[in-house]
Amino acid sequence: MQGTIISVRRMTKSFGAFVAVNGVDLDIVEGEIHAMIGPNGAGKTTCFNLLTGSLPVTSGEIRLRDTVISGLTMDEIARRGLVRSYQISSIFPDFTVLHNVRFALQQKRPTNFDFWRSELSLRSLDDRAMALLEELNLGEWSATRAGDLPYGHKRALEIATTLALDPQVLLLDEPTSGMGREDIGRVTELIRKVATGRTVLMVEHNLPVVEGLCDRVTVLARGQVIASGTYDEVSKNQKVIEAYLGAEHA
Amino acid sequence: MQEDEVQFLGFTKPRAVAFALLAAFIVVSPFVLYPVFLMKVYCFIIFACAYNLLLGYTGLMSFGHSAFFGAGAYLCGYTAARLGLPFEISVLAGTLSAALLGLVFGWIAIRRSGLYFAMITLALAQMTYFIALQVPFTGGEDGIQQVPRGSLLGLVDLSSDTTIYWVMAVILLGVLVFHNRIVHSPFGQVLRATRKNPERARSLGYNVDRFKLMSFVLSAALAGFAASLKTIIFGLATLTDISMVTSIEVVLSNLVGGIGTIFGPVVGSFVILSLEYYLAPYGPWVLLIQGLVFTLFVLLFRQGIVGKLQEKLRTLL
Repeated sequence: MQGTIISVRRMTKSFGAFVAVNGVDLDIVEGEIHAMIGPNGAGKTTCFNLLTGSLPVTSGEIRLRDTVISGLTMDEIARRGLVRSYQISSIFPDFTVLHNVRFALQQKRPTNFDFWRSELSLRSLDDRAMALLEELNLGEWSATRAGDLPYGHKRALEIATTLALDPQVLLLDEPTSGMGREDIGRVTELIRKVATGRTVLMVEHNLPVVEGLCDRVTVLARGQVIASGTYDEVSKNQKVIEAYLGAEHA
Repeated sequence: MQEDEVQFLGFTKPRAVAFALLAAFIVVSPFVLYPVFLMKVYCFIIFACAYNLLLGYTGLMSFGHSAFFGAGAYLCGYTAARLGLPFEISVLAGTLSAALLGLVFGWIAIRRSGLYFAMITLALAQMTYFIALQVPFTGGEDGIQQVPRGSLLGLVDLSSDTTIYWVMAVILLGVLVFHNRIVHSPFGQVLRATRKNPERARSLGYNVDRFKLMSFVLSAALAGFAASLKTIIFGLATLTDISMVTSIEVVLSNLVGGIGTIFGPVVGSFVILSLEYYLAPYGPWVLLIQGLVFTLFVLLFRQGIVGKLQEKLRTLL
């Protein structure tokens, strides 16, 4: 087993009197697929937003390896290798599929303030962008306007743009939400494929997907961690059963 | 833009045709229309291109661009008329002063977006107007007058309207190529992406605010450049340059021509200034006619004239 890549200690987020995330501790092990699950309103997406700097933490500390990243801006955290996808697929609809991936690759250039240079200079990134699209079975769609892609393919494209940054940790926010069974199978396979040699943290509602895909699961309820372990361990946990089914069914 | 279509000077084929038509118009028009009016339009086109960069490609609506236009006009006028420096230095002074002011305004304003951004720029521009009215070097209500045209590189005397027209024509075509290049550069690519989806651009590691600031400064500099040329051509810098009316006119020219299109500022500037020029004999009725025209444009062509034309072309091709 490898070491911890992300460690979160006492992470708290308040919105006025409402505490959305309350003293969360979390350890993500390098090379594993880690799921964060919990009933609606448990604070999963807020946790995601805190980890990626989309929201500032009220208190607590987030470390990426030995570096404290809580307090950094979203783009700084992304450049350090923590890159996310969104619950509602977030692409650049007017760009072609290839340009979407190339735009992500473009970020790694030493500067992007070169307004005097032709965008033809970006063509050197096309081979790498195409390779990523092929990896995610999107090669044949490369010239399509991204906004015209079917829903499942949009999610795959978003994963491709995220991978383009060669992230240390890939954060996927409900990657199968709103999908039919066929698309769920496709995206699950993609995640399994891209997770090889990478660390993945995902928020997911679909428990069969979590069971089939994830090495470790953290369960949140009302902003707190109530269980953590393998899927089998947490699924037998009394607190988890209560949180999902209600105390009367437990 | 599909890069495979790039044909000429960075323009796609249809835009290269539009550019060639414009160049032909520029060559022929001074024999038919009043050259001084044409030069006024050309200066305004450059100003409108500057504004288009910000609104059309960065998605930031400024109500304070008159501050940069005014700063450029005054500093260029002061450098040429009071300090007696040559044409090139004066234009450079006007451009750089506007860029510097843009850096300050942008640094303050980009912390907010949408209506709040627009209101901050409006407030800052109104403050700049007040300062221009108070400080002695601007000449108050009189402005800076009798700004000499000087000569180009000490070789070409610009005092003749014909000579300065051809210089201005070359500058305008150069600015249009430059404007197109900015939009279709790696930097422009980031602007277009952040305009559509800033959150995703941030999550991909782009410091969106720095790109917005850079766009703001470039836009301000280009506005200052346009104002400097106007000051040299007309020999004066006045409070009108820095007033709210100028800010409104540049917004309208973009709306009418087509926001976020390469040639929208060209068409929009021609329409706006022609309305002013040709309806001048009708006195106060001009405002009413202008109001009706703008309302019609907004109702019938939401994408502006060029935007509508592009849509039609896409349907036909």
